[in-house]
Amino acid sequence: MSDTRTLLRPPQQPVRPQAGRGNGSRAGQRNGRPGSAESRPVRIEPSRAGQAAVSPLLFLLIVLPVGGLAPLLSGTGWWWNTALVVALVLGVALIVRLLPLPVVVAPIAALVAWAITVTVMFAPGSALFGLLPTLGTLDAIRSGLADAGESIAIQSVPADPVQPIVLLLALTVGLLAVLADALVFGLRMPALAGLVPVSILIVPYTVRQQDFDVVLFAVLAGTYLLLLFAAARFGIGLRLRETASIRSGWNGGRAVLSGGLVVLLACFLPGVTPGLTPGSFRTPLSAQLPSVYSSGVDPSIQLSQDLRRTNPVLSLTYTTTSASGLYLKLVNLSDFTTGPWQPEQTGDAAPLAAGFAPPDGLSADVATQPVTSDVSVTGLRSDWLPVPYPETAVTGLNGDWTVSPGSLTVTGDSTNTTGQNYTVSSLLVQPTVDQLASAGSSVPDALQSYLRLPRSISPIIRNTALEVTNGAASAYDKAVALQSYFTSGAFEYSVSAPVEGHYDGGNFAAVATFLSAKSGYCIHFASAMAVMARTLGIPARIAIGYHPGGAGTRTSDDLTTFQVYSDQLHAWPELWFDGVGWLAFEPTPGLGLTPPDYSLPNYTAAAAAAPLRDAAGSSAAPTTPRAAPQLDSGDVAVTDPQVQAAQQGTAWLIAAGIILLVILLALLPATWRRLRRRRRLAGMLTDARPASLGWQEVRDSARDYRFELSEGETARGFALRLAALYHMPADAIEELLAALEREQFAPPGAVGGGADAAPGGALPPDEVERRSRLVADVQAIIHSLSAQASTADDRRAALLPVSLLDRSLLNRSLLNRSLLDRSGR
Amino acid sequence: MTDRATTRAAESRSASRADPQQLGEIDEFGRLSAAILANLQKVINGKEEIATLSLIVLLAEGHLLVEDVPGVGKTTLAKALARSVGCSVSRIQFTPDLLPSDVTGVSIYNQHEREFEFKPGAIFSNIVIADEINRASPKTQSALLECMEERQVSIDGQTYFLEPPFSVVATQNPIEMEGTYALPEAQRDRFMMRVSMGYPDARAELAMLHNREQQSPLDQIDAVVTRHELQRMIETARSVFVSPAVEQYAVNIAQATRRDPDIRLGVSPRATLHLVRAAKVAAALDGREFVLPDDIDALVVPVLAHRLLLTRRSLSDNRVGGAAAHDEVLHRIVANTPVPLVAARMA
Repeated sequence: MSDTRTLLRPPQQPVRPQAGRGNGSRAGQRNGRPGSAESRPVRIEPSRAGQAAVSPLLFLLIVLPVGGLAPLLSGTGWWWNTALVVALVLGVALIVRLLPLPVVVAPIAALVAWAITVTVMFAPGSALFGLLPTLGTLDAIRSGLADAGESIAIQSVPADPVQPIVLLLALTVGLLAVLADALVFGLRMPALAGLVPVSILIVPYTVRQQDFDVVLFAVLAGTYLLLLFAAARFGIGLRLRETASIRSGWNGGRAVLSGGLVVLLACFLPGVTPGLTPGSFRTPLSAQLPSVYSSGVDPSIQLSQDLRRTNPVLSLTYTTTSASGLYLKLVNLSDFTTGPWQPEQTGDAAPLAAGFAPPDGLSADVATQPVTSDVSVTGLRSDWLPVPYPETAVTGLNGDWTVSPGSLTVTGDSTNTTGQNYTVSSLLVQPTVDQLASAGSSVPDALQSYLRLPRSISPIIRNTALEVTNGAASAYDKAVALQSYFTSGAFEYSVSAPVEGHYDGGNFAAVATFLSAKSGYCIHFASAMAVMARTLGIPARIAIGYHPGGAGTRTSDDLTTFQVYSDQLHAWPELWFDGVGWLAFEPTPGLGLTPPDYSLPNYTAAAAAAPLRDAAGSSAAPTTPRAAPQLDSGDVAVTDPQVQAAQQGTAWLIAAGIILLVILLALLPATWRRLRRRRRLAGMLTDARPASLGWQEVRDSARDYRFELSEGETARGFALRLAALYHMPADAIEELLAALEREQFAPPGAVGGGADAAPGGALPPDEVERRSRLVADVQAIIHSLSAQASTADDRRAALLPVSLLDRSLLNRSLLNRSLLDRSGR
Repeated sequence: MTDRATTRAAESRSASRADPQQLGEIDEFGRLSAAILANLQKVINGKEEIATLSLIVLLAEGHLLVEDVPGVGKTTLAKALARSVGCSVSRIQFTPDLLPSDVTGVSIYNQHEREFEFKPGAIFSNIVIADEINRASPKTQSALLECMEERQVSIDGQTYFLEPPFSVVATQNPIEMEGTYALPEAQRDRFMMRVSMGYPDARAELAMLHNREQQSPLDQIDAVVTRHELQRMIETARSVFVSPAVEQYAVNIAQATRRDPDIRLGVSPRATLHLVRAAKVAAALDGREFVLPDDIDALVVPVLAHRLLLTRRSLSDNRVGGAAAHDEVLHRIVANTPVPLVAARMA
């Protein structure tokens, strides 16, 4: 016999695994049989149905996190574009895999699909035959990418999704799709698909540094688990010969259950343990170098984040000859005409070495007092230097710095403030009442841009401005009236309200909402006052920097040292008066800041005339001349009971919403199962195989009660086991079984009536009666199953019907046949 | 199941539109087979399963191999079966010196007539009892086995057909016993089934003592079925319907034996044929005019076990060893082969 050699082989001798299986000869298969069957890796080809089921999940896993970029980009067109590219790439790969082609073809085809799609979408002009990428396409794409980089650098959040940015997205995410497809289907490592959403989501969370979106996270995690589950079920993952426990079919359910538990925990843990938010993880790192005001990020958003910081870090210290703290300005926002307000461009900046121009509009007869400050930056990384306006000289800086003539902003040229120590000389402007009152309202051409407003602004801004300043004669009086409007108590300081009300950030919509909501923080007060001033014809701009904050410590030589923390970041309006120049105002209440003397309604000439506070050599009392601000903004935000209550209320609402959602989701399987049962029972009256349908329902119901039908078990065997259960209706089972066997195995002509019934035609009455009796049988069996189960089992069967798991996903018999082909044991 | 359930099932059967003529035949089949089985019970106490299996072989026109230690009633069973059906019966006691011509017959020169005259051997009967088949020399064994397959005998260029029904009931001692020639696997394959008698339980053994005090119970056995009726029963069994799904199921099981790592030699296609034929008879015995997967399942071990060659490893690994190891492997294969069930149009 041909088997002799095989027979003579020592049983323990290892045999090289046979690579090709399929329908090889029996001898070949026997040779492939190893000495120890358990350790042999078997390469199992995944079923087509499996690939078709996993591909859409992979698609979701890629495009959903792209949606997570939504806070960074406005509109949705970019998402559809990206999704289209991903869909094409995955679709082509799937179709190629379904064809009988070598394994390597699919990733290549996906790559080609990606290249062609990107070419057609973004550089159609350069394509050969309108399809094929050429060298010209490469150039076009390259310049597009360069544009994207520039555009990202310039724009703030949310950015306008210009073509280059969409190109960048489609290009990178499309490539990710190619990689993910190759990982999951090519290398058969579906678990690695999880890297895709992680790598995409890193972008929004690093740029915006906010807590992650719980819903998105839950959906993604669910999709990922589903993908793993489906991949395992369809044998997509490369794995060793399966063990009995894998084949028993319960691992899927268990995996979903434990995975779901992990997701739930991950969603709720951060909520109940406040210390474990991404913010707090960030602090230790950012304490070294908080990245404030790097270019490309909306300053107002940055500002709000720094204000919300739970533990502020020391940004800088300065020792000054001024007795009181100084407003240290970083940058101005002055162009209000476009979307989100941008920091002033430094187009006409001159090198620092060329010196400072005299401050705009400050005439010689206004009293000024020189102040010198030594600044030491400890924890701030910014392209802009914090300096008190108007400065006259800055010395001691490392690197190249430039000065913008109008705003006197000092900007680093490829350098930043990190670790800088410098001396800045500045002026304290002390105009008299007369000087202020007589300040002309004429605005020179150079300053016309500070009056510019968009064509249409909300009427509430203009109307409020006119109403508040009604009766004020001079521009100065109007400015004072505006400031008192904000500080008079009608407005409240809140860091959280704008976020909840969705008017966070600097733009016109935010100003209008703020004026009606009457709650916000510095950027809102500053921008509202600046915009209202512009509507009244007063040149205005917003300054962003540090407010003076707490009292300093008096050191020798009449110097005072101040420490500035990150939560002292502030925004205030600067208004221009002819002959006096730019003056800072302080409309923000609730921070304990005292507005500059000149901006107070009772500012008198006498007060201005007597420079008592700042006399350099005077022996004035060392007590703090201005009301000591005891509270920093962070404290205010937390201790304001109203705000706190509102926050709590919202939190409860969100929690309730999430719980409701979870409950609804939890009820979904139960509802689905019930609907399926109802549909089947109804179908039994019309379907050609009523008993088979009823049997399916009985089997699924038994499955729900963990009473399993094994693959090799006959219907009769199952029925006998079922009938052996306590209190089961044996005659109902018997009748259903008899009908089922007849339907399934009897000669076609003799089948119990139903099959012959013409579609739409009425069934004979005895057949209708037989069918309704079968329905009653099925109901009786299900009822008895439920009656003999424990309450816990009953509830579990209703809420987590496991019969949904596989029937919905796949054709089980198909799968099991292939399982059987692969292993004998 | 309860009587009520049975009634309802019968109702539902009659309610369906089965062929009434066929139903009549099935009922007749049931009546006759019950009579045969009752007859057999007179001789072998207990052992209903063995009796049923041997009847199945007879009605499926197969051959039966009864294997067991001496003295448990192998020959008695074979004789009882033969006598019950009113057919011609012959018995060959196989010994080492038995010649092939003793089985098939021989041509003798008739001096009176001056020509060769054929003297038919023992094989020319409806039922042939081949006792202790494994004691004969391989040459004689193969002569018998050729007849079993061909259902004809060729001697001196002349072919003699064996009259249907033709069935061989062979008995053999386990091959470990002294003075035996084991049947090669290729020849075992010709037998539709192999059954083991097994020892009777204490009660049955006691009853046997009483029965045989006066005379052999075999003497009380009369034919309950005529040869014509037996032929009709065989026809009825042949007409039992096998759905494509069940055929596929039988094939799947056979295929699985050829792929199983524990099996060195799987079953032959003839085995599949035997399995389905036997299942048809089993279905008819159960009063059905169609075969269920259950019929197949029940017959897998008796029909397939004696044809398998297990690997040495599985024989040595197996806790039970011997014939039980074959049974265990087959049970596993049956348990792993999906039972066909066509889904309803809407699932």
